[in-house]
Amino acid sequence: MIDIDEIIKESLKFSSKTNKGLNDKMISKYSESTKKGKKIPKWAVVVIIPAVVACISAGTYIAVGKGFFRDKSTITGTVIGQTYENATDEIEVASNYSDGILHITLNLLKSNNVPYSALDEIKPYDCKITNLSDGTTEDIQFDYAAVNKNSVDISVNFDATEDTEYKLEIRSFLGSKKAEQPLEINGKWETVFKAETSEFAK
Amino acid sequence: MYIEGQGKVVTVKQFEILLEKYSDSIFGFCCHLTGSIDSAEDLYQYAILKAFSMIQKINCEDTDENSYKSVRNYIIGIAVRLYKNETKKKINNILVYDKEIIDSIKSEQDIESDFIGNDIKSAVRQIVANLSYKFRSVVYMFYFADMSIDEISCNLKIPKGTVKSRLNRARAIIKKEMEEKGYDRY
Repeated sequence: MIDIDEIIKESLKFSSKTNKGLNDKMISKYSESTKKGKKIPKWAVVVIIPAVVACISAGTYIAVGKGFFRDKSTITGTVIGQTYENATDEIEVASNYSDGILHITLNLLKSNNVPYSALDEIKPYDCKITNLSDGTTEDIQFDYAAVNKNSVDISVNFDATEDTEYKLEIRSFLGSKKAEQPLEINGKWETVFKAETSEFAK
Repeated sequence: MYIEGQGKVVTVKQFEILLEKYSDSIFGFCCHLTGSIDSAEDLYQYAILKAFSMIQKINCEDTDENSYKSVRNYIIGIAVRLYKNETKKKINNILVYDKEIIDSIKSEQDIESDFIGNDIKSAVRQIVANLSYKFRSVVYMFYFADMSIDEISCNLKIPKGTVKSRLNRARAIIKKEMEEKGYDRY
């Protein structure tokens, strides 16, 4: 009985004499093919281009002013909640001052989208008021105000010096919904108001 | 064994010696792989050119026989990859040998001591040619080019276990088909 390995080996055995060197025709053909450079394979076009587009989109996400949710985690990486970032272009802030009361009007530009559509109440959270004449700043606390469709009116008592301009800077809002953890909405908003003496006081 | 990035760089003179020694075996391998003398000529030339263009990257530990053989195996590996790239989807088509190659095989076998009949050899060749490409290439490398499992694994960049499994499966197919053809004494 002959080993199958031996049979395969014997069956495939043959010698074919060839020109050992390289022929000129093939050298020139090879040179031309290497000069052309490598073509981008089709699969690369299909995979890489969308990936690049996605990367550019992610990179420009902040630049185009679109808000996004971000996990809030502890030092060990445990997720303990969420914040909403880059909301600057999604909320408009206007302010005016009269008779010791600072009125703030928020215009929620994307009130049909989350998180705004889910909010019951909202208040400025991290904010300060700067006196533009002497540069002094003071923190101010707001109470929650109900969200009415796409606008919110917030009022707070504030002692201002007459005929002085103030700048209200807000770094975050706190949104609340019943039975939900408050959501911190981060961005950067600035509005200037002037404490004018009211006609009544005059 | 050939290891990229280790040992001494192969010189042009050594490359010429290598061709002198192994060109027939490399060309023979190309003939088996392509099944046609013309295609084999082209594949051989491309593989040699490719290897020559990368001569600075080819290293061998010494100038002994084994080192030359390991560089030959490297060139065979290049030929396999070139053939695979060239044929792409047609690669699993059944290989049909040219008349010229069959004649070469016959003339070679007439010289050999014929302890295995020519009809059996022809049947085995046909069964191997009908194998799918992944089995066929490993069979040619192992049985024709006399490469070890390690060398095949290194040159095809596949695990040793995969090489062994392909060889075993190819062997089993050949055996089974031989039995079906009535050559059951093997």
